[in-house]
Amino acid sequence: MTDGHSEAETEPNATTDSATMTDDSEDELKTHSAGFESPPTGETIIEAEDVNVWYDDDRALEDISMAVPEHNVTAIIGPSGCGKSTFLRCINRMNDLIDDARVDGTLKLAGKNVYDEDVDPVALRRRVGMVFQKPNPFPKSIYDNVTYGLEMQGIDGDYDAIVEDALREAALWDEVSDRLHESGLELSGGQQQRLCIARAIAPDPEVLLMDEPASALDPVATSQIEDLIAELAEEYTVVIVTHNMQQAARISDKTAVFLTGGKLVEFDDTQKIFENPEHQRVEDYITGKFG
Amino acid sequence: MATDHADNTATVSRTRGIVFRYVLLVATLSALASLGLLLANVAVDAFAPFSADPSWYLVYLCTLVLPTLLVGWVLRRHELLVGGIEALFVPIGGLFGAGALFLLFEVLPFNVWFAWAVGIAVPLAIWLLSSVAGTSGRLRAGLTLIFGGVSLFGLPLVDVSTTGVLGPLVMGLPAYIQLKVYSIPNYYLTYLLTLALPVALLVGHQIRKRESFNAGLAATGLVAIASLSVLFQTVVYTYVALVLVVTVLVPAAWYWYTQWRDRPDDRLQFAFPATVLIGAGLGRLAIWALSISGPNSWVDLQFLQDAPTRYAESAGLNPALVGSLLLMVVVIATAFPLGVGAAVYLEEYAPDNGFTRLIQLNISNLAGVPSVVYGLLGLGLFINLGGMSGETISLFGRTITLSGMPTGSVLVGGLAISLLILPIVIISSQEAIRSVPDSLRQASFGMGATRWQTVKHVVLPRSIPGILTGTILAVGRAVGETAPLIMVLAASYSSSPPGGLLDKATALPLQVYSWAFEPDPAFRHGVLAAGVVVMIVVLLVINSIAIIVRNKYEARQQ
Amino acid sequence: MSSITSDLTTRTAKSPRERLARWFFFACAAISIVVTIGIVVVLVLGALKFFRSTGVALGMAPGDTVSLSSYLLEGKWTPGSEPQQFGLLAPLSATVMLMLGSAIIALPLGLAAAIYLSEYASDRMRSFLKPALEILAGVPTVVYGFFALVYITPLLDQLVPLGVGTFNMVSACIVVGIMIIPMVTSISEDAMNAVPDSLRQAGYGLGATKFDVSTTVVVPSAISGIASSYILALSRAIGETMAVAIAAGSQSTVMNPLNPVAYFSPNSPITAQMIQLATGDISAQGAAYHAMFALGLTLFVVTLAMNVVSELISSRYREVYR
Repeated sequence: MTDGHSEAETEPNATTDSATMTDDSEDELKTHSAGFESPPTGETIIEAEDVNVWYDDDRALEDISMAVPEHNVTAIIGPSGCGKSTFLRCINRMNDLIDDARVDGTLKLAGKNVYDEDVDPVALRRRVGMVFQKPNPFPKSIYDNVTYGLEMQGIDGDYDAIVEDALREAALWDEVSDRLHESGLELSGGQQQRLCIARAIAPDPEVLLMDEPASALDPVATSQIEDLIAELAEEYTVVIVTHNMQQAARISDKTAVFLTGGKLVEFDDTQKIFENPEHQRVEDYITGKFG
Repeated sequence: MATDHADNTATVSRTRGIVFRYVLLVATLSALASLGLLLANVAVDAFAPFSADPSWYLVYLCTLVLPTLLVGWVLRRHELLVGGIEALFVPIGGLFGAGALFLLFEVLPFNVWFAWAVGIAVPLAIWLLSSVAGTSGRLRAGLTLIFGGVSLFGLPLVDVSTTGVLGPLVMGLPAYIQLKVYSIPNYYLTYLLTLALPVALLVGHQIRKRESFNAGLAATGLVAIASLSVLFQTVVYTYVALVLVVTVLVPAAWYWYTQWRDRPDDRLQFAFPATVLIGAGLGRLAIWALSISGPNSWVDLQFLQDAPTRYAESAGLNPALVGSLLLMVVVIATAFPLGVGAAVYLEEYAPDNGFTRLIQLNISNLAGVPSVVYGLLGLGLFINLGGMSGETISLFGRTITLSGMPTGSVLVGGLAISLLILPIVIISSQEAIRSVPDSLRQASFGMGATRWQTVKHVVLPRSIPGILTGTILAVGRAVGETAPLIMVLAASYSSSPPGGLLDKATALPLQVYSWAFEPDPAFRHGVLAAGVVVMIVVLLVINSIAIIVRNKYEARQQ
Repeated sequence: MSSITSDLTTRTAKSPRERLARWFFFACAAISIVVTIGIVVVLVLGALKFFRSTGVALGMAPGDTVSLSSYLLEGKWTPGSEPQQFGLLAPLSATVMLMLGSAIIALPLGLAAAIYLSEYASDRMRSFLKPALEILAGVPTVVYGFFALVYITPLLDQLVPLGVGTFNMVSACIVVGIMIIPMVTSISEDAMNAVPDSLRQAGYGLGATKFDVSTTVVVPSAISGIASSYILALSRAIGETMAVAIAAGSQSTVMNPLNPVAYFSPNSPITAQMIQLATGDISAQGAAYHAMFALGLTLFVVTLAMNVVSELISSRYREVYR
């Protein structure tokens, strides 16, 4: 299905530079770009309204509406094949890379529908970072992996400092600070995934999307990643897809439950979902009666 | 939050990407375009299209091109175009087959042909008789081998006078007939008996299987063939007509007949070959009737029939065609069995150890050795025997002088080229064998079959199309190889075709090479261009055969 | 019961027919080793008879041999005239010129085609372009030589202010370059296809454009395959004989491969010189005859080394993606 080789997206003709995101000062890294008022935690940053996705004639998502709050960890859980990753990939329009995919509905990032005609998907992905299921560092040095996004987006600054900060935030600095110029592929699985996290946050996106980031890792690495996620939410908004319910229960503030057919059945505070869900099907899923 | 809108509508410049994409496309197409231009230049030089009367083009446009396009377009709508083109390929392929046969006849004069045909007929008859009589496979093979050996080669060690009844036994039938028998059938009867008769019997047999007429049809076929070719004696030699009938008419008629009967829904596809043939015929007729002059093409029948001369007008490349044909016979006879055998070993029998890896590595290295080096191998090994040529050794009480193969002979050149393409044949055969699903092998072993039985009955039949395709493509490569031939000293000017494997070799690329240094522009832009065009056509034919083989078998395996 | 046991122990797998089949196939495979040994033996023997130090020991007349130092260090190669001289530097410089000249054409164009095919072309374009590019490799080398001599050289003569000779290296380099493009393209494209898609996804996810991803992720990740294709193609160019023999003349002269003007003159690389020696007036035991083997050995060693290096590069770095 995926054909990452082709990019079937609209090409807006404007030739303006990409939006400058940060000034040189280190402090700016910790806040968002100028002109962007830091809202109180809990305000909606991603809002989906009746989002439908089709792959050819198969419907993958049906009428998804949800509001993801700022600086929270929002988990999306559900049995396999019910559209969780598809929804995630709508947020940064990675689905555009798939020829057969068709998206309907509205998906707003900070109030602007990302599927509007004038939105450039490439510019969008500079605001929304992504970490994939299987760690996929580039065959470059650790340093170059982290700076890749900065180079692509034309971000100026003290790259050494940015790299250190990103690696610290990803809880990897201590382990690699003395070998930044070794290949990223030499690291263990868990380290590689943390490198991918560092790579994704180095350009300081607003939102961090994580597609089952720990599913390919061993338990020790998994718990390291989980510890990380809670801290990341202080800087970014994290939306994480996971098929591991316990993980969702452990780390998320809000949880969305997707069930078969690509339907969002319930979306609420994590505690409510796991202790006292509204829908019977959700309760059945949580208690393991199916899925 | 409201100020976020500005950020979200930023766009990233794509001009770099768009420019890059087009630069890449232009770069990719540039080499193809250059080749196209060069080929166009050769075609213009070889066919001299501008020397023709414009009305020549007009005639063919009306009788051939436009009707064909129209019919083709209609057939395309009905999805019958492919079938129509295939139906046309059969007579055209037959035409090339006839050409190959005529080249072969230059090497084997009809009396030699007749003698060998008789010699082969004996074991063939033994084989058929024993099949009918139901003797066991081993006995049948043994009998055939023994009788075949004696009839073809005689019993050389028997010291008996060669006259009289025992003559054939001692000398072998072919030699006896050539030397001692003075009355043999003429050209026409020879080919009638050796070509037309078997074909007629085959056709009759096939028809008997399909319908319930029987030998009557075979006889009818034979008579029809005989009478048809005699009719042509005012236009071409009767034996030429006979060969054409056997290679073009009969296969085409057979193919069309079977397609007509088997696929009644697709009968419309015959409109295509009909249009092409009738259109070409009508066009030719019109040109002849109206005396319109066609292009003064360098590529004509005379070019294919004559030997090279000093004069551009009369130069031809016939010896080179014969030479290439003979070379390919040697190449195929050596490279095909050796290559397939090696591939079978590597894929089916070889243990996974260092020695096998060494062989595999060795083969890929050999594939990268330049062709000149293979020529040197031929020179040093086959001709000079590693420097030992001319030395005498004593064996079993007799002194034998070692001599290598004749310099520049077809045999040496062919062996050198066959070693050159051997790695290619091995590698492509390996790929074909590897593509046979392992589950089939497992099924065979599960039924208690041995390794050889599995290879013979399961693996090879399944991989034959891929093997054939790879071999045919390798032969296409071999046709174009010149350097090994030059290195085995075959490069001197020769104006007659090789008469046998030990004669001096000539080949198409060699001829082109020797013509390349003639300064006369008529040679360079005329004869040389024509030679290049002929080479390209030969290559196209070979590659088309490979593609057809692959498609036919792929369709069957589906 | 016993009949079953005896059935079970019947040695069908070791029957004579099986053994015969196995040995036949093994012999076919072993022929390849014999060929290699044959090549090495023939080349080495001939080369030994060429060089003075070993040739004399093998019974050659000293006048028919050449010293190793003059072979390696001298710059005049005149086997056809008296006195005969056999300085390798002359044909070697022509070989290097051929390699560089064809590299300029084939390496950029071949890589461009590979990137286009792998990253940009639609399936339809790919199904048309790939076979079309293979045609470039299927044209016989004599035909390329003919093209160079009869069409490209006159064209160059008109384009270049000072004109070029009838025989020159530029035309030869152009056609050899065109000839080896398919090698570069097909191997590089395979290498680029082998780059896992997740890497491209990671690039896109970080806000890179397609141009960025192709140039900063895919090509660097496939670099070992690309390098290997370059070396293989160049080794093929070095081994190319007929096109240069026809288009670039028969005289070897020492020239500077880095001097662009040198390319407008004729020159004859190692391969074409071997052909020259074979078609020239050679007595079977003279220096000129054995010079072919010395050249052949040089050529064989160089191309073998290049092929081995190419294989090493591609296999060593291929393990990166599992």
